[in-house]
Amino acid sequence: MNLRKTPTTHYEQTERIVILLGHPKSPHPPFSKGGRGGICGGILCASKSNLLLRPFFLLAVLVLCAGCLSTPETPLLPGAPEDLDRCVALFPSEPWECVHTIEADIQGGMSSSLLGITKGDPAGRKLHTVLLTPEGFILFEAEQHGDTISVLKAVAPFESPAFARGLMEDVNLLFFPPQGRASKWGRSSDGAVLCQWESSAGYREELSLSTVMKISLVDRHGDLVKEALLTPPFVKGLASQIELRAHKPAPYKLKMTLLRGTP
Amino acid sequence: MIKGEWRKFLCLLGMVIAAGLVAVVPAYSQDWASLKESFRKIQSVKAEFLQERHLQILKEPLVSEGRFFYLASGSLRWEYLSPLRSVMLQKGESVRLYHFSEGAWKQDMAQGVEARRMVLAEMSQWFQGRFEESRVFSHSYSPGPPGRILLTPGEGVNKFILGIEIVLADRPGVIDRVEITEPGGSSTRITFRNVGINASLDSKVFDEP
Repeated sequence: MNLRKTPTTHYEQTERIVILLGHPKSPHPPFSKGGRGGICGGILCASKSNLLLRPFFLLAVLVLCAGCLSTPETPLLPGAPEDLDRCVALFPSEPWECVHTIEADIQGGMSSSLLGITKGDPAGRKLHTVLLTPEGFILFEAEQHGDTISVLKAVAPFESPAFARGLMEDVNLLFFPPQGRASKWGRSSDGAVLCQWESSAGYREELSLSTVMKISLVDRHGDLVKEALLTPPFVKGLASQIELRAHKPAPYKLKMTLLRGTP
Repeated sequence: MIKGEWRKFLCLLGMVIAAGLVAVVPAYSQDWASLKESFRKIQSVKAEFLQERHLQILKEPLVSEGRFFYLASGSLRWEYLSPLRSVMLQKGESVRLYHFSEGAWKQDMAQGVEARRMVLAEMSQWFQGRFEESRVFSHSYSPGPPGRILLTPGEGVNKFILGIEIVLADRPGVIDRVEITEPGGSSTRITFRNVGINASLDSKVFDEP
C-alpha cells in the first residue's frame, strides 16, 4: 500500500491523502464496524499476541470461514460475439453524474442512511465521489484518476485509508467495466449471458445478464467477495436500484436507490 | 481526534438546524434587545422546511424536504421526509437517530447519535437567544426590512462555514430563509413554511419516530 499526503484545500484536520491502489479489485471493507479494517482482519491480527486467546481466535476464524461463500465457476455454453458487448454495455460508456440514497447495513445490526454523489468518466477511469449525511454534511469526498485515489475530505469514522480504498473499489465495481480482456464469455444453462475477467492476483469478476444484472467478485480461493444486483429499469444507463453485498473480509450491505442521473 | 472531528461536524449540522430554529422570531423590525426578549417567549415551534444543498460537484442542488418540532423545555424533532426519510429525536439529554427502511424505522449508528448530542447542546444556547455565550459564532443584526441576523464563525469553524445569514419574513414570527455559506463554493439554503409558534405539541412527536 502506498500512501502520500499533500495539503488539502478544504479541511485542515483531514490532510489530503493520495492512495495508490496496489491492485485493482483487491477488496477492502469500507463499511466494517468502526471503519478500521473489519472484524476478519482484526481477529487475524490480534491472534498472534495472546496465546491464551488463540483457541478462541482460531474458533472465530473457523466460524467466519464457514460463513464464506465458495463460488465455483459456472460452466459456459458458447455465446455470440455480441454477448461480450452486452456485458460491457452494463456500465456507462459516457461521462455521467448520479445521486443515490444509500442504506448501509453493517455487521452487528448497525445501519445508517446516507446520500451518495458520483461523477465518472470511463475514459481514464476518473471518479469523483461524495458521501453525505441526510442533513447534507459531507462525510467523505474523493477523486480517482486511473489507479490513484485522492481523498479530499473525510471525517471520522470515514477517514481511514482502508475505508477510502474500499469505497472507491465498490464504486469501480458498480460503474466501470472490469479492466483488461475478458477471459471468457458465453451463456449459462438458463440462458443468462455470462462474462468473466480474471486479474493477475487471481480475482475473478463475473457479469451475469438476466432479468436482474449481477456483478460478482470472487477471490483466488473461489470465495465470493462481493456481489451486486442491478435492478432495471435503467435510467440513462444507470440502474434504478443496486444492492451490493460484501462477504469478505467484513460483511456489509448497501442498498442504493437512484435519485437522478445524467449522462 | 474522532471527537474533535465530530465536534466540527456538529458545528455545521448544528448551525444548519439551530439557524432555522433561531430564525423563528417575532417581528422583523425589532431592535436587538427586544428580539432577544422574544426568544424567551417562545415555548414551542413547528414548521416545514425545504433544504437546497448546492455542491460544486452537482449542476443542480440536492433538494430535501422535512419538518421540525421544538419545545423550550428541551425537546426537538428534526425530520427529513425526502429524499431520505430520517429523524433526530431529542428529549432532555437523550438523543436518538432513526432512518426509515423497508417499511420500518431503524436506529442509526452510534457515532451519529453522539455527534447530534453535541449539536443539540449548542442549539439550546441559540434557541434561548444566548448568542453572547456562543464560543463558535459572533453575531450582528440588521433590523431591515427584512431583518437579518448574520452569524460569523470564529477560528476553526470557519474552515467549514464562512457565514450564516438568517433572513426574516415580513410576517412577524416567521423566517423566510437561512443561508449557510461554506468554503469552496458550497452552500445550503433552508426555506421555512407553515411556521407555527407556541402551538400545543403532542409529546409523542418527541418520543416515537
